[in-house]
Amino acid sequence: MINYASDIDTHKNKADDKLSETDLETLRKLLLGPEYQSILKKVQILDDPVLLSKLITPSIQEALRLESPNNSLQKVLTPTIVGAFMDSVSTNPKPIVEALYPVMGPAIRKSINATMNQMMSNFNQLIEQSVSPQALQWRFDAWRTGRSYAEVVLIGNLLFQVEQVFLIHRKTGLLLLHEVAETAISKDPDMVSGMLTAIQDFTNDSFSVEQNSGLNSLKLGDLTVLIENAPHATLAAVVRGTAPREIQELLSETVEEIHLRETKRLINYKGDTSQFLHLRPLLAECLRTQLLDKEKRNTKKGASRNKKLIKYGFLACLLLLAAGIVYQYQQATLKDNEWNHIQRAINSEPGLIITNTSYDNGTYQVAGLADPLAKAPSTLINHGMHSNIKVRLMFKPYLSLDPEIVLKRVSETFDIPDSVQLSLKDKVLILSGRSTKTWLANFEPKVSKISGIKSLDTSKIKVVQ
Amino acid sequence: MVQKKICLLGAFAVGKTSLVMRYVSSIFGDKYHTTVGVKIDKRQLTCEDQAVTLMIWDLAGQDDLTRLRTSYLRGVSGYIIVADGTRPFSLNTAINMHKEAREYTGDVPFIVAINKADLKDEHWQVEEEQLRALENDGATIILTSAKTGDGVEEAFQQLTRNILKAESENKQLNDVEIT
Repeated sequence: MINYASDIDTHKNKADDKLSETDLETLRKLLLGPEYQSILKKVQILDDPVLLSKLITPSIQEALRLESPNNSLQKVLTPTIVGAFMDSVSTNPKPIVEALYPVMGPAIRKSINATMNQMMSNFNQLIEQSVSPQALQWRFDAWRTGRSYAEVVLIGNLLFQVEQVFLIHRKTGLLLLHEVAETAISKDPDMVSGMLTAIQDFTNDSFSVEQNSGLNSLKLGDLTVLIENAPHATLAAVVRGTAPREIQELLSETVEEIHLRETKRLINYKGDTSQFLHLRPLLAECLRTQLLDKEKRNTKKGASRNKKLIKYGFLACLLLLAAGIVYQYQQATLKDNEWNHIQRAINSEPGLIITNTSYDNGTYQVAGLADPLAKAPSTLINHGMHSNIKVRLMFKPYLSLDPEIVLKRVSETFDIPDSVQLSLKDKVLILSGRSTKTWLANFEPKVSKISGIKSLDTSKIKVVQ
Repeated sequence: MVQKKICLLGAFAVGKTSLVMRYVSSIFGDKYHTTVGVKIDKRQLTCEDQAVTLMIWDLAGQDDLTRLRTSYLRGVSGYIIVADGTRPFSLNTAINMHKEAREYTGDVPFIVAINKADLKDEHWQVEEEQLRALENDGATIILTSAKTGDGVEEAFQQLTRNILKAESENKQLNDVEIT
């Protein structure tokens, strides 16, 4: 009985299960309606990652394309991208370095140029202080050609020639392209390139240097080999003389351009040199720069004669000007001296007084008073020196009480015998010598009437009959 | 005209330089071996109607397995290992060098040159079995003599041929991949 019951139970369960399946199916169809099929599909998609990604991709693209407010998408992505970038650089920097290489060169050069210009202007200031004749010459040149003074100083000292240029495949050391200046001699360039590469490898191996660094220059005497390394190519130039900075820059730019244009060919190089022949003009440009400078120097020599004439003319004018100035100064001094002398002479002469002096239109004027018995002022003017100045004398007569003049007056007014000597002191007329009584008696009362004489002193005179 | 870089490897004093001296144009003296560790020579030949310029990097000989100047092997299209037929140890050195180089260069064509073949009848120390073993490994063995010049031209020609063949095979492979 029990068995039968359990059989019935299981049988019933089975039937229930069977029923449930289809029942559920029907139930689902009833609940979800026509969307049932599409919903089923969507569920399938969600379960399958490949199908899911196909579904989501356009949405992601659209999301990225849309401008999100506040650049929030950018902010969200930034840490991830930066992290990925840093990982890439720390595990293997090479791909990133190669990718950045064409960009970094110009950026670095720009910053270096800015620094150099700053240095140049400081340098310029220092040189400002030099005053040697050569420096003055350079100064003149700088002013004339409108260049900076420091530049002229440096360029004036350069003389160089770029003799050869090699374009070398960095990995193998094989020579891709070679240019030689007409006047230069070159030994087998294939082997030279190989050896140059070997030497770079040798240097890298023997001395601890940064990975990917290379030689920049080899110097021997007046010969310099300038080397510019790009990831897959090397450009080397043989320069005789002092190469200016521009040559190194030119090489940098050239190798960068070549690298940019020919990256694929350089990486896949299998030895076919014809692939790079079209780069010849680029290399030749590195040679030609040097010729231009040489030509400049040659035309300089031709035009230097003219320049010399101008220079000497200029100097001559300067000298004349200087001479003129000196002469004027000298003349002025002489005039001054003479004028002072005249004034002194007149002032010290008894019976003459200067009341006013002036200078008017090239003529000195002296106004003063002159006693008729004094020496005439005009005689004092040309006394001694050749005259440089014109003097106009305006003297009015006056009565001088100078002792000398008074004595003169006495002599002229009275008949003084030879035996009598006169002298005047403190307005006292002193008689000495011999005289007759009559003369003395005659003289005494009249003489005190003469201005400048107060009294007479006859103690020293001897009276005779 | 096609350029190829190849290297010469081998123990000290196996006759590498003497071997090639007759067949290459050279502007650098032997002192470069002791200073820089490599001497560059050039050989121009025609192989399979193709004008080829071989830039030969003659690496300074080393007696033991101290570091091969691996940077000199960079970009090499093929190489020649030179051993001295009268010194068996030089062959071992050569084989070891070959293994080391292989790690660096990958699967490039190579030739084994056993030098001083002119002394084959007198001081020859190389066992035939060794040679067979090498050949089984895939090496091409050429007996050479710097003194008489035997085998040298052949060595260069063979290597160049192998290089060009390997290259065209590679190219075919690449072409197939693209299509």
